Amino acid sequence: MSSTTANIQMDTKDSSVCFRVINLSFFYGETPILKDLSFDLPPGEITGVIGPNGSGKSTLLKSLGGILPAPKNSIFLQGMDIGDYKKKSLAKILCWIPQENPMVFSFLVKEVVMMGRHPYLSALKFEDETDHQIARQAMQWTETEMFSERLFNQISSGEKQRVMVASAIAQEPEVMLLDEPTSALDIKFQLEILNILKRLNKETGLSLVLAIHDLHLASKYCDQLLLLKGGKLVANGTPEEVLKKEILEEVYEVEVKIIPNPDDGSLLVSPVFPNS
Amino acid sequence: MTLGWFFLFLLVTLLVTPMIGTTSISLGKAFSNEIPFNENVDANILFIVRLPRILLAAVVGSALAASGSVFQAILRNDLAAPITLGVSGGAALGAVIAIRLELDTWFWGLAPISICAFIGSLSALALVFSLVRVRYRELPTSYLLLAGVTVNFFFASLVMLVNYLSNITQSFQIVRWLMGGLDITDYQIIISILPMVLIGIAILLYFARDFNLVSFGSEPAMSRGVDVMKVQVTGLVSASLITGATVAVSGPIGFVGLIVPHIVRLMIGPDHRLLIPCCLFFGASFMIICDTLARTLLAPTEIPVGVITAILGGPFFLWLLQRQR
Repeated sequence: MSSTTANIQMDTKDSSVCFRVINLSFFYGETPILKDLSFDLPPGEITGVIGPNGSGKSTLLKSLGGILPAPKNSIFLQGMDIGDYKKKSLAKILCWIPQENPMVFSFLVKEVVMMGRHPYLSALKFEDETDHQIARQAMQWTETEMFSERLFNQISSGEKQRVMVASAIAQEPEVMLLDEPTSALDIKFQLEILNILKRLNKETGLSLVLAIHDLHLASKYCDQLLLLKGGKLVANGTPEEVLKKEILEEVYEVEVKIIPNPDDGSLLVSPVFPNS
Repeated sequence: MTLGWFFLFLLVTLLVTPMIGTTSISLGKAFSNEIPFNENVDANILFIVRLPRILLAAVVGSALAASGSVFQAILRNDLAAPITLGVSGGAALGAVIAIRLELDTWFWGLAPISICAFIGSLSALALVFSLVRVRYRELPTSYLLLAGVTVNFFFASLVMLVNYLSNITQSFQIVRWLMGGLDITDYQIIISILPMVLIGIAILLYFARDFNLVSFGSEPAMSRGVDVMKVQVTGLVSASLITGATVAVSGPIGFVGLIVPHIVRLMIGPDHRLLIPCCLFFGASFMIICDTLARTLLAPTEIPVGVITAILGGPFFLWLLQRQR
């Protein structure tokens, strides 16, 4: 018994993993949303969080992002309990991007991108040339320079999502968490945002965790998948290991067919329609 | 640059308005050393009647405008104003109780009405915050908004009750107070409320960038390292306290705290590092101009300044809004 405890303590200090999650549970009031999740996320990978609506994907991402308070000793980021980080230090390591961006006041796109510099600035300080440089680079990554002077309220949702990613890049995090970055977008914008993220991951070693509904895109872009159902972790592994007929039918409660794409080996998950 | 223009506008307002009034005064005579101050009518009008009133208008206007911008940012609502958390309702109740009981205890250069009004606004604020249950590192802003509005209404009905139970003289005084005005003033009143207003404004300026992020969205703000809860509570309490202090001496002057931030935002955008200082300058200028109109338009009768702010500010804001679209 004592040796197990010692082992866990040893394990949590392991900073070679990006996230180590141990028995994470989360309740909204009395309702359990996440039940006893345990997994490791290695650094430099793209992890997809998949599962039916209400399976706890958003709550998991918010917990990992420090938005929702996680119980002590359940989430370790780079070897340290996420609750022990100072807010601004945490923001220098990870950034969480919401699914939707409701807004009241008319900030310019470049002002929204510049908000990413917040953790690096003390109170009363204005951004200097370095900050502007970093913001410009972030807008180049995401091809958002051309509308940097426009109002964030007045651009399309695909463009907004890219601006939010630019803002996150300006934050210079090591981990980026995105809550369904593609679900409100058409297929062109979906590919656009995912290609930007993939390039970031390849060229800068940024770790990414994204909640995603489209299983085909998940298999194409993710190195690892976490499959949730009812707040429980059902499967965890490479897309080939997780996207299996038996597993998916059990989780989504529909009959499916897995069709490997002959061109790139990605897995197309298609429902089996009753009449076909 | 923009800030400079707003400052210049305030400076011009401060220089021009003391010259305007029912009696025309000569600056040369007012600053003349040859006539003793007590016999120098021009100097008396300038330094004892007009100047303290103009300075008080500046303090009240800038405090209300800056608070308003912060309320709108934190509550993420265009209709939020410094009085949203029940501060003015509480102040009104305190004031009418003081009037009804004919209290006569002065404290720190402030009239009993002002003191009771300030206590009233503190009670309202405490009541609203005691009703809030915190969830997950941020205040439930829509709940706060509803609680504040309800507390305001509740206190407003108590004000009516007290008014109903008062005699005709008291009742007139109550109605007059509720219209808001800067007519009863001296330097001591300004000195009494200035420390609180200055500290409050300094705190709001300190959190200016945090307000940008919180107004954008509280969860994205958390993800960027903002202590959202701290920013919300400190911002709302500071803004409410300076509102309470000014309402206590001027009565509830509506509209300035709602409209001035919108006007300034339409002109310069929503960055609070610029917005708050510009609101300070423009709120002061706006209030001084309104009060100048209040004391001259129907002279020798005075119009309550609260009436002018809405009559003047409303159409101006609508015009600006139309032009934007």
